[in-house]
Amino acid sequence: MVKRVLMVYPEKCTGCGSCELACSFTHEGEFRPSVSRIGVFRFDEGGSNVPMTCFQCEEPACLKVCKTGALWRDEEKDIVAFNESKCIGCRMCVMACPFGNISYNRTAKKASKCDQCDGLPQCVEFCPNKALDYLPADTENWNKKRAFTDKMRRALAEVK
Amino acid sequence: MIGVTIDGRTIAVEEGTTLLDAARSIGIKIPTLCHHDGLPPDGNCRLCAVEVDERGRKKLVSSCMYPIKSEISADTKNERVIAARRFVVQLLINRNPKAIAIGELAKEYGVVREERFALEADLCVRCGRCVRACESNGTDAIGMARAGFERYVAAPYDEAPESCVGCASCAEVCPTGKITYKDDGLIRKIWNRTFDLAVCRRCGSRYATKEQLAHIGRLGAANIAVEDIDEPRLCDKCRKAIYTAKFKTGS
Amino acid sequence: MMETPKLLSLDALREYRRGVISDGMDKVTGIWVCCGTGCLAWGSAGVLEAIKKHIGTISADIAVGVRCEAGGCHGQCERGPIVEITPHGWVYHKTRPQDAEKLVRFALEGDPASPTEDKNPFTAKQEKRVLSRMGKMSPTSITDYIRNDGYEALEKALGEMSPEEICRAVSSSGLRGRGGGGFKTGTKWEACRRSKSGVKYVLVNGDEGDPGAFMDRSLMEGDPHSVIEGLIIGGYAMEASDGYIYVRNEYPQAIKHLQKAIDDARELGLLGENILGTGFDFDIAICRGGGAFVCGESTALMASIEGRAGTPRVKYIRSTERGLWDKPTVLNNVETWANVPLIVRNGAEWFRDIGTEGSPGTKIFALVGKVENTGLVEVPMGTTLRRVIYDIGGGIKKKRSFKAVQTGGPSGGCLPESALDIGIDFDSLTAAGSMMGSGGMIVMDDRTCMVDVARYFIDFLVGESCGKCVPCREGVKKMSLILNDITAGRGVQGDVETLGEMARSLADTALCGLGQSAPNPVLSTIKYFREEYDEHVRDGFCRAGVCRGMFAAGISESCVGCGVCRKSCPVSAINGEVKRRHMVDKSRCIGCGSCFDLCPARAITPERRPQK
Repeated sequence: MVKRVLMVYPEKCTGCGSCELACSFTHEGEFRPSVSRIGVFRFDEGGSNVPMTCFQCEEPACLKVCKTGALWRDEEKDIVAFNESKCIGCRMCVMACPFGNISYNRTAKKASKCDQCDGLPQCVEFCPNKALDYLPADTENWNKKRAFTDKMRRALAEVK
Repeated sequence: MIGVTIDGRTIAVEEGTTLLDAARSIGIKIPTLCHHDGLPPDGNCRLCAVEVDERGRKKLVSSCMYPIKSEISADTKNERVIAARRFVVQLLINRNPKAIAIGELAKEYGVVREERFALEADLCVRCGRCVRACESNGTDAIGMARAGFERYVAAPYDEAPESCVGCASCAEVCPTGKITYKDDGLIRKIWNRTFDLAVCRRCGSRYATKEQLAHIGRLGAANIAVEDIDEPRLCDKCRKAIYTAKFKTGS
Repeated sequence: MMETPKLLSLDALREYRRGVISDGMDKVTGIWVCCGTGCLAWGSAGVLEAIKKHIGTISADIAVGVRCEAGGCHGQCERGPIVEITPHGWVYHKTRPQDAEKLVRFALEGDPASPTEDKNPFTAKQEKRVLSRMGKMSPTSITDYIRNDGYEALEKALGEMSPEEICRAVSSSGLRGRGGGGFKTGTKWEACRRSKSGVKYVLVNGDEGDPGAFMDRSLMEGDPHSVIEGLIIGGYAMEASDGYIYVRNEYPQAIKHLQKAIDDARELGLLGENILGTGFDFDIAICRGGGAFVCGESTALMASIEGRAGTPRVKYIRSTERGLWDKPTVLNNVETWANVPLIVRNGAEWFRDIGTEGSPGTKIFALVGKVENTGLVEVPMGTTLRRVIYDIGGGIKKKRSFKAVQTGGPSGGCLPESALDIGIDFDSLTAAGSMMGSGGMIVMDDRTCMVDVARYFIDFLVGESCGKCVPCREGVKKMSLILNDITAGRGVQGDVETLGEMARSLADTALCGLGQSAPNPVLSTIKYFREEYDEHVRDGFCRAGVCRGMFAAGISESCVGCGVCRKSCPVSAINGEVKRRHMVDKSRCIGCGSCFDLCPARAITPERRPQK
């Protein structure tokens, strides 16, 4: 399997929310953005939007606090994988993720996070503007993603 | 890999795979109660009993714990297996008539509550998932107290457990809804303890107990410093919203 | 007394043994006052003190030394305090402090009556091998043990045998676990030997929990070194470096004596590093249990040693592969370990020459209940129940008639008169619907209600179930409810069938041996005494006169008219004139049973109550 990375291009995002609908429908069987694993932040001024989902960190904070093995690094797929049946609903990953990219599903009493749809991310499929892309993890793309997350991290450092 | 035949279908599994996992992998449903994929197995409810045939020796085993080590065959729904499960479900429905999960099992296995043996009704099935969840989290706040018929889940000496962080995992894994917790204003109540909830300084939502945040900090989450746990913080959603905005303006 | 040296080689041990044997102490007349738990309760400490005091006052006059010390258990505790005089082998029962002078005189001048053990029917027909040293030496003296062949087996094992050879000897002796299941000890040992691990454990199960059984306690109290010697040999044979003795906290003397024995053995160099210069390291620690019956179950016992609650684990991987702290472990019962030195010293053939083909050797039984002589009985396997109960036990108390014998502790079964000629071994008892267990043997007479017996044992197990698995926690409780209903006259048609079905399901589904064997008393009493169940349920009648309100007193012609029953009747249901046959007003009799055992003429028997 070719490793791929999920790329986000905020400048191309129109805030249409197709990704949220595709995601919630794929995972929960309904069109409900609130349970989507990807979320679009829409900013009034300047009409700019930022889609946000799990960065699949190499050293994830969520994994550090998960004690049941529900979260683990799947090196083959290069993602932080999540096994819902092993989740005991302690929500520690939710609080530990510095980016707020894991959420808690009250109905299922389980955490929920992006799994990149097992290699076929539906958010990418349905994004009409190529604001999301799923590209081979070559050096160039990898560096781009790195640049994006580094920027995120800098923004985060100011927030605390 | 080892060949194992379950209900007449043969598959190859890795050595040490449990019979339950092997059966599930080919879509065979085996009822479970005390089993939870994320917790160490305990085999106490005996619902997942199946009959294995080890070179002609037939015996009933708990499939959730039985490791496949040699070529065996198993029957997950023969007469002996069903009788065993019915026996267990009968005992459970006598004691736990109001537990929805038990009610469903009783319906499936065609047993009704026997009034003659109906002692005080209880929601707890003593599966110990809560205890194991608490152990997994490293908090060890609750355990099993007393023995036999009087066994129950308790905090030490039935007092408010010191090591509890109020994460409520125990409630989340409880199959019958016996363990509950209540968030009331700024506090969470569970196990006779009252926890202050951390309040998001931006949206005001109460997103976790301070003890749990400290616990997560101790486990090594970099964004939570144990020493300033009382500092006003942001909930996960607001944290995300704010830094995303920063990110945007910075671009 | 000799100085205790640290023995650094096998030769040093041989030399030390020669020194012990030639110290002349064996020529000294010994007065051994049993200070086992039973005799202590009878006041043996006072007897011991009186004898010592008396020897003190006359010591100036005696030329030949007399040695008086606390000895170990003779097994006939109901006759305590027991005193034995060696080397003559004279045994005195029910001694009192005022007998001191007489006993010392016998020791010095001889006793014309010469009350040796072969004159006592209880002991004469036993074959004491494991119990051979009991009561004839000081349990707290390692030199006494060595004087009586002690640590010869260890010397032979370390000096002449390889670990493989020891395992093979244990295997070919056919020794089976004396604690309950009767699993072949050698098979277990060899499996543990083969397990590859740097750390292995050997454990002693001294958590004797069966009510009425006390052979393990007596051994630990009276001959602790025999258990320790067996354990050291086991450690050597399986290449284990640590041994644990798990003893229930209710056995304080056993703990004390074992600890003393371990300390003495260590001081002498029989425990610790590089034992007798052979390069073998081994040490033993005692672990005290909290007295839960379930902790006698192997996985619960190990959990308890590990410091967790004593509940059993599901066991699909044998302890010999993954036991204590997940390391290869062999757990044997006290009596099994005490057999090991005998096998090593005398050989497998010697061990096999008594007992049966499938169960060689001897077995110690705790004979209790309605027999004339109660106590510990060591007989060859294959001895019939009849011989144990009648020849050794002296028959049923008060000449009543035999009804049943319960073997194997609370989860054993009750066998009827027709089973009395069964030769007792692991397989024959199992085939008859009971089990060997740890060797408890409770004899019951016709005044025992078999339904009530089943109720009693099930209630015991309700109290001792750990409650981990559903079948045992809820199932045994449900069986108890049914049995309590039947014995209270509330049984309904179909109850016995329900009990039978439940018993079979419970045996199939329970997590550990305790739950799986819990139904045995119910199944065996239904099998052999079904009529009694039916009488209870159908007629509301308890023929043994045990279950309250389920019988009425009936007075036969043998009544002598003494009036004792009349005076004792709480509801004045008995009438009659002095020296005339009394009569019972059955409609008033409440079936309390208080008159039965008072009647000197045994004229009162349970009869059916009049139909309402």
